[in-house]
Amino acid sequence: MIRRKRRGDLADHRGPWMRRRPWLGGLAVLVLAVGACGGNDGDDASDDANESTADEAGDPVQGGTLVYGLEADTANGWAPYRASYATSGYIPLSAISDSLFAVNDDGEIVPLLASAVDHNEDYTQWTITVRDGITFHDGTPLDAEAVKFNIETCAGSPLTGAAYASVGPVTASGQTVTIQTKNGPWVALPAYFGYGSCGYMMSKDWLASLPDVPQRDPDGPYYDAALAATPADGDPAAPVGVGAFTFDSYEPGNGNVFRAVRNEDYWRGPNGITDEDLPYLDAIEAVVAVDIDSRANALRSGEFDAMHTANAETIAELMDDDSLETVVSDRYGETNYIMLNVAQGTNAMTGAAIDPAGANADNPMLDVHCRRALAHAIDLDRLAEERGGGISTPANGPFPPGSRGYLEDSGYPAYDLDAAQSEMDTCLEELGTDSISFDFNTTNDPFNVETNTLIISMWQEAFGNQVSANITPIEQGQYIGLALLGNFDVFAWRNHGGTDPDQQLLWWISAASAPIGQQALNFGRFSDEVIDENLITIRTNPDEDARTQAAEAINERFGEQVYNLWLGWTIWGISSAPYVNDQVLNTLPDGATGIELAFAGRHQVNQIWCDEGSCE
Amino acid sequence: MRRLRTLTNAARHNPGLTTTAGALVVLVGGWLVGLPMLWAFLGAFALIVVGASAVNGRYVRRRLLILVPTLVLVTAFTFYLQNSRGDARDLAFNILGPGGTEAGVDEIVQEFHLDEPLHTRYLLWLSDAVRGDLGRSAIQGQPVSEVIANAAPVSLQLMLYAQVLALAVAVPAGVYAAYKANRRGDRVASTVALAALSIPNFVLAVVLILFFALGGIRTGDTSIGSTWLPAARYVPFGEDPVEHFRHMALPAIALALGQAAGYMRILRSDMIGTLQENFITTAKAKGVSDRRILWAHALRPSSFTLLTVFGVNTATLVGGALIIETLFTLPGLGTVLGTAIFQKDFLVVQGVVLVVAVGFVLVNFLVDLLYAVLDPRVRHVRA
Repeated sequence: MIRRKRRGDLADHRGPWMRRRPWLGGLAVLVLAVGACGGNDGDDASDDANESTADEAGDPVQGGTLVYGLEADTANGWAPYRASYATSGYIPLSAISDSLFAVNDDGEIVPLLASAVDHNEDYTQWTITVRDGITFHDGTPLDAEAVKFNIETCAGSPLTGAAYASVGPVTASGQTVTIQTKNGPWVALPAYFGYGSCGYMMSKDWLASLPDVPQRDPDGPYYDAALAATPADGDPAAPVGVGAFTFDSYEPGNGNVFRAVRNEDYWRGPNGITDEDLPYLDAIEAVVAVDIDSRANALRSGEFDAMHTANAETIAELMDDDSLETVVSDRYGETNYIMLNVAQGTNAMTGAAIDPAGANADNPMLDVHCRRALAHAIDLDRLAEERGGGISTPANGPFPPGSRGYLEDSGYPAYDLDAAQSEMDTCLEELGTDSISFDFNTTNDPFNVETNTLIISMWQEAFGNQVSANITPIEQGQYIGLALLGNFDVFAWRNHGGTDPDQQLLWWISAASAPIGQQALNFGRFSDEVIDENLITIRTNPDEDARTQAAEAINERFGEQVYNLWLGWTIWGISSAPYVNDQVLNTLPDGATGIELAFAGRHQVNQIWCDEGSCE
Repeated sequence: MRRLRTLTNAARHNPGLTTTAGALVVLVGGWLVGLPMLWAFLGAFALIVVGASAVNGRYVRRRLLILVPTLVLVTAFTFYLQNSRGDARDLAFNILGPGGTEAGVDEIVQEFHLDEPLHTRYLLWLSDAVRGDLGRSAIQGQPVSEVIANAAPVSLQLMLYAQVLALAVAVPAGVYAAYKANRRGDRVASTVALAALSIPNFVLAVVLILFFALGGIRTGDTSIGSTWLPAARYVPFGEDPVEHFRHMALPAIALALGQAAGYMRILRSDMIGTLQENFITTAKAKGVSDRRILWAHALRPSSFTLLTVFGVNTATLVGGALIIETLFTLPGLGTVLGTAIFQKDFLVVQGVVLVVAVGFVLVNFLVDLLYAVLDPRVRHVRA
């Protein structure tokens, strides 16, 4: 979904970019007219896009340094197995390297650095063939050995290992990598090497030189004694990939710059293997500008050529600014929600007690009627209007429109104050109390605090003294730690983007739920046999209809049990100066249209170009 | 010729003036030739100490005797503040950040001697700190000293420009206001100063950005404002001097204006008192021009309070820089400190606070030494 303007007649409000690219206005109207109607809405528009870009913006010109304002820095260097990649990290990452697989405009996983992918009959063995003739920036070849090494770093890393827990033995021969799966079939394996950080290939030599690479860990599954004996003198902050740009310099922190310069030997460039001329820019500089107003001011004053944000109010302002060109999307994006701690009882998969110490025993969120009452009392339309700049969309589940599992009616409690009061009465009766109280954790970002304060005010309007929620702002760095350990009652959160619901398995499966005080990726610690069963179907059943039905069943189960209070689907906006072209264009090597702005603000940068080869 | 002879005589009678001038030359010259800022500051610092010692060695020695325990107290207090939150394992978790594991905690407890008593840890930490080892940031993946070394020049430049700008505005305005005391010129200058003092620097920064970077406000076809100056980013001086100053202009002005107003009011007040002294009356009786009386006779004895406030403000500017650097996306110490606080990057917070605290003490020590150079009452005291 891509939109340019938020209110009124789109045609009347077209900015310069819209005038040069009439397809986007058409797409926006189409999207608004048909609403969220699955993943096919981009086909026609994308064809139009290719034509109008060539017709009206002219042919791409080489040259220029693009300065891109990032919302945050990336912690722990740039190696995928160890770096904490957020959206902002994917801009430098996609400049430095490419992924094994890409996503096309229909949301399908297609080979990119890979030339072919195959699997055995029961999806327990995958064979990936890598394109021949591609080299990393250090001159080493992208071959099966390099891919194997990359996969094993992610599977063996404490940070990324949970997502790759089903990766079994990996073998390499020439350009062919074979992956055996653990724990049965894995039908969506390629999606794990697509748009996620571990899909981006890095030089084996560089990874091997890093001091904490899992292959150096004598207690890890991929220990390599010979490698461990070599000097660990690599710099995790100086990545070596196969991408359109070669690392030049990086200094962490707000106001600092990640700079990469054109890779003359890019595999999609004049000296490459695909008869393309990428990239067009001479260099790209990604500048961390944490403060959203500073970032927008820098764009408006010409210091930045482009920037991104998920702040809906700012996106709305940028869309209204005719001197800028703004692309907006929520495709396969994340869902904003309030996570409820429901830790109690026995884990359906492991048989262990989920809250043996009774740390969560007093949390009213254990009662489904309390959960439903709170859900019924949140006016999502008001929330979208007041806090979402009028452009965000209320959510009714974890799967946004266009994603597998999306349902127009998921059964999630709609805004209804009578139903809310009825559920609250039942809740209070079951708990044997006159009122409930709980702590509501949020990050200390003022915008988030205000948003969640508004939600609390809605509950107070609905229930008066029957509900008491104490908002607790927490520093970002501490926030994830509390979620991992389950130390919360109610928790504002954002997650679950992606093309395949299989990627949610590690967040929702009962096996990922541990007692409070122990780290668990199922933060809310729900253990639900219906969700487990359908997650396993999604992972193991190749039948597309069965997988879709399973995802929809999960959506409905969430709607019924209300483990989370869904708020809205995250919108991301990329705004740029008018001389910047094809900000999010993603034409694949075979000429097909790849997905553009999606997955919570991610997009390619190798096809951006500036008028007359100068980004000024 | 006569002027040169006068200067030579002054230098002979007060070698502190010569070394202070030398310190300025080192700062400006070092900056022009690209000398690392830390070395330039150390060189200038050493010159002022030597000069002040030549003028009044006993005074400098007494100041040095106070300086050492002050530094010990400051470092101990900084260390205590950061290390008094929880037991050894809590501290280790703080250092590791949210991704900390039990095994990692064990390693950190060993590495930082967190199981030792507080005073032992302080001595170990101090011994590392004086050798430039402030630990390694788990979040940034860099040595803390490197993080600070990268950020400090940006903040030092910003503060230097802000202070120079503030003095360049405040001194003439203060002298003028004192000269025209209680007349219209004084009232206008004082009103403007009061207004400037009343505006927080972050508000001023937003207004400056609006009018000098974003084109100002538009009414019909008329636009009030410009896009002359950039609203964000830092350009190192060595990369492009012109762009460096363009990018530093708005943040420096935003920081300087409030300072200038304060300085101007202090100078005005002191100078009004000085202008009523007998030696000024004598100078007037001898027919010395007003300009010479103001700049050659009255300014120096009126500037000691200003000098004290200047020293104190240099450190407090770091607080202002925290907001200003964030607003203008400057990668200075203020930005580093703010980010580290939000990320709970324990070692970086500790390192920056230490550097700022020690810097504050040293700047004020320097101001004390400058009294010995500038103030004859201090210069000629023989205890």
